[in-house]
This record gives sequence, C-alpha cells and structure tokens, in this order.
Amino acid sequence: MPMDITTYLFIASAIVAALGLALGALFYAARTANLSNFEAGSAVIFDEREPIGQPTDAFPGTPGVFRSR
Amino acid sequence: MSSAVAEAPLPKPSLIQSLSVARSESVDERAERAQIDHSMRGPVLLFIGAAIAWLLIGSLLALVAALKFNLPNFLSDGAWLTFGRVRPAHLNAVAYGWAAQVGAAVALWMMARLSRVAARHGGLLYVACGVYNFGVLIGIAGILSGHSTSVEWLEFPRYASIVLFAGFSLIGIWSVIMFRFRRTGHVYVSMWYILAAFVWFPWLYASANLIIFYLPVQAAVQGPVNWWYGHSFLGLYFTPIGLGAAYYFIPKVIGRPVHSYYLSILGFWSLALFYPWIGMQHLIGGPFPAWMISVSIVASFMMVVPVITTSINHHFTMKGYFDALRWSPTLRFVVFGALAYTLASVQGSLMAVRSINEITHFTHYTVGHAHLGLYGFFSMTMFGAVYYIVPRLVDWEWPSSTLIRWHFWLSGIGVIGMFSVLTFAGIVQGLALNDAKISFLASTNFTLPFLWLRSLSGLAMTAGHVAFAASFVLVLLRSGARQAQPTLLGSAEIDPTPA
Repeated sequence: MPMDITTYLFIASAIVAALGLALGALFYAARTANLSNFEAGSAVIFDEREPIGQPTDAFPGTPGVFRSR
Repeated sequence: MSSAVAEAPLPKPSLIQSLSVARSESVDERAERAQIDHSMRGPVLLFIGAAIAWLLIGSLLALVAALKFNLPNFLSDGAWLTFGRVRPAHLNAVAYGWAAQVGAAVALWMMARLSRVAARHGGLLYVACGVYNFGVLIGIAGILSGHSTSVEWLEFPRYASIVLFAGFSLIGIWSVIMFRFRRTGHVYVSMWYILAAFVWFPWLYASANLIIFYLPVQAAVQGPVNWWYGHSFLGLYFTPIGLGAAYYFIPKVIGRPVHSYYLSILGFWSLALFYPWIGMQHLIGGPFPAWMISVSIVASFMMVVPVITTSINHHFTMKGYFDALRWSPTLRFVVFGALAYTLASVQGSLMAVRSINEITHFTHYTVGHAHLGLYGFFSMTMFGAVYYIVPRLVDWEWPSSTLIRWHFWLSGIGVIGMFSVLTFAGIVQGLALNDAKISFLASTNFTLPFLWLRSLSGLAMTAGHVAFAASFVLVLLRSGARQAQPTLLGSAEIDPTPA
C-alpha cells in the first residue's frame, strides 16, 4: 500500500522540527556565551556552601569527611 | 540540612504565569539548596518509589523469562505467562517503568538544583507521575493479556502508549518552565543533556508510534523506523540522562570541577549530531538500500568522538581521587556506570561492522550488549544518583551501609556475569549459525548451560534490587538512629589532607 500525502507531510514536518530545534539550541548556546569561557562553566555546580575542594557525599548539613590521598 | 530553611514558604506562581511570555521576576527568588530539595521532595520520591516498584516487577518477569530457556514448561499453564508475553513485559517494565522513570526523577532533581530555583508547579509532576505510571500499568497488563503490538520497544498497545506519551509530555513541559526561570546564566553541561533528553524522547516516541501505527508507512519501511526508535531510545534518552548525571555527581562528590569542560560540551554536541543517524545497522543483511545501512555504520563509528571525550573527561576528573571509591556509595555506582558506558559504546561501534554483525546478530551477544548498556551503564549510574539524592530529600541518612554494599556487589557481579556469559555464548552461537555443517538445533543446544548462568546472574541482580528497595523503604520510614556521619562503605582511617 503506497503511503499517502499525510504520512509524507508528517515525516517532513518531524524532520524540519527536529533540525530547527537543534539549530535553534546551537544558536542560543552561542548567543548566550555558552560556547565560550568553558572552564568557568565547569564551576557553576559549586557555590559558597559547597565549594570546590569539599566532598559532598555526606549527610545534608554535615561536611564531607573523606579526601583521597 | 536546615529544616527551618526547608520549611520557609515559597512563592507560588500560577501555571499561566509560568507559561506566559512575560516573566514574573517577583517569584524568581534564589532558593537555598535545602529549600530546593524540599520543594522537590514529594514528586521525586514518588517517581523513584514507582520506579523501584517496576524494577522489582521487571526483575521477576526477567527471571521467569530466563528460566523458560531451560525449563520451557515452567509457568506455562496460562497464556499470559508464556515466553512471548513475559519477555516483552520484562523489557517494557524495566525500560519504561524503571529506567525511563528513575531517569526522569534524577533529571528533575538535577534540573531544580542546576536552575537554582525551588520547584514551580509541583502538582504538575504529581499528575505526570500518575498519568505516566497508569500508562505503564495498562501497557504491561495489555502485553500480558495478549494485546502487544509485537514491535520491539513499542510493544505497549495503542491505548497505553497515548497515556504514556501524555504523562511524559507533562514532565517535559515542567522542565522547560524550570529552565526558563532558572537563576543561573550558564547552562551546565548536565542541563543540556537533560533538556535534550526531555525533548528527544517525546519526539522519538510520538514519531515512531505515528509512523508505525497511526500513519503507517509501507511494511518494509517499518523495520527501519522500528530500529531507529529502538536505538535512539537508548542513545537519545538514556545516554544523555546517564551522562548528565555522571557529569554532575562525579565532580560534586569529590569536590573537583570536571577535567575539561570544553570536552564535555564537545561530547554533547557530537552526540546530538551523530546519534540520530544510528539504528539501521541492526538491519544488516535485510532487504534495505545499502546506503541506508552504511549511513548508520558510519554514524556508529563517529560516536567514538563523544565516547572518547566523555571517557577521557571522567578518567582525568577522577585521577588522584580513586581512593574515594572506597568511601562513597554514589561514586562507586556512578564510576561503575561510566566505565560500562565506555565499554558498551565501543562494543556498539564494533557491532556495526558488517563482518562482526553477521556473526553477532540474532544471538545472545546482542542481549549481553543491551544489558551492559541499559543496566551496567544507565541503571548503575541511576542507583548512585538515588543514593545521593534521597537522603537530601527525606533529611535522613541511609540506615544500612551493609545493604548498600550488598546491592553494589550483587548488581555489579550480576551484570558482569550476564554480560560475559552472553557475549561468549553469543559469539560461539553466531559462528555455529554461520557454519552450514552445524545444525540449528546443535547451535542452540550449545547455549543451554550458559542460559543457566544467565538466570543465575539475573538472580543476583534481583537480590541486589531487593536490597535497594529495602534501603529505600527504611530511609523513608526514617529507620534507625539519626546519624551524624554519612553512610560510608568502610571505617578505615581517613586522610583529611588535600590530594
């Protein structure tokens, strides 16, 4: 049974939507400086309460207690 | 965690406000971490609890299916427990009930943490969880009652897949709202992965269902659509969530930023570029245009780029901190998952080679590969994430490090055993299948002892899941005395000096 025009249109729309979304995300990333100053970005998961250098697999409210040699 | 902070009242915007073009800055107060965790407590625990329930159900279905290889008459009196129904019920229970759901739970929690805002519209997540689990429930019941579609990874009957899609779409909408109102300017790599997964999965699921069941393409084309979906479900939903979790938890646990953030971003965008082309290599030898299959083979090999970048990053982030594996339950599971990711990915690329695929296809080898990816990588990473998240949500430490240790070793040994046994059996089975002098029956009989070992491995994993579920119930009940120290996996002397 040959595919009808609706199926072709759906597939084309799905491809265009996916491609458009990907390009939009890439454009957004570039425009908001998410594709530059990379190393500073790696520190955003740390803050004054859980700073770099402090292990956090600890009970909430207690400091990390292990440190690798 | 300070309960005073956790109980602080949160501003509650309406759903219309959150979806409107105009942003309401008044509700954008930066929340404390404890406040964020408090706001996510109910929904995330509900998702995790439901996922664990499906994990146990899926494990039992797996054991029944595995035992039937050696004991074909085992539980075969009723049609609903025959192999043809139990096996897809197992696959869908663990894929949609456990893995997709616990992935969503972990991603939702990370989304709130990375957005630095307390959850908006938590009620939306309760509805999403209810709808999604109702979809899984009627889907599994539909498969067991004989209403499976017989399309691998899409076996849920149509009435269930619509419900499942609706439930997951609500999760996606909530994530977009959180992203929109985040307080951090930079989008951390884990957030890229999560957002992508929450967009990709509904797109994949809707597209595949529509093209196969609602606006069906020609029968021969349904095979490629099926495998495009089947492989993309693993690579464009489970992989990004698993990697997003690894990129969050490894640095957080050891207190060290990721080795090369540039590589992590390169890994994300190269995954997005190459993975959607993969899937057709499953059809090598099938009645399809050679170019179509070749495109997937090339894309499979291009996946070496994101895999290598991720592996290098994880290794060098951990370098000098491997000792921490002894003390951190989270790190132990997540690093196991990261190693399994590298192995499964390289193995997947090699399986796309025509000469290798001709041997491994239609054998137990493929099943071993699937377990290494979905369990060794994804599930182990999620176990580690849950061990990190839950104490912060319930304000109570895991009551038993012994249960955690049992869980890790049973699951770890179980999946390594299953992978090893099925890989070896699959290779020999494949060579036998390609040898005209060996009968099909002989090639099958050879695998029978290995299938016993497969069941044994599955039993170990199931026992690990029981330990995991017991830990979860106990921590919810706040069992045992309140602990001042984290549940570490040992009591050896700790060196407080920096590495």
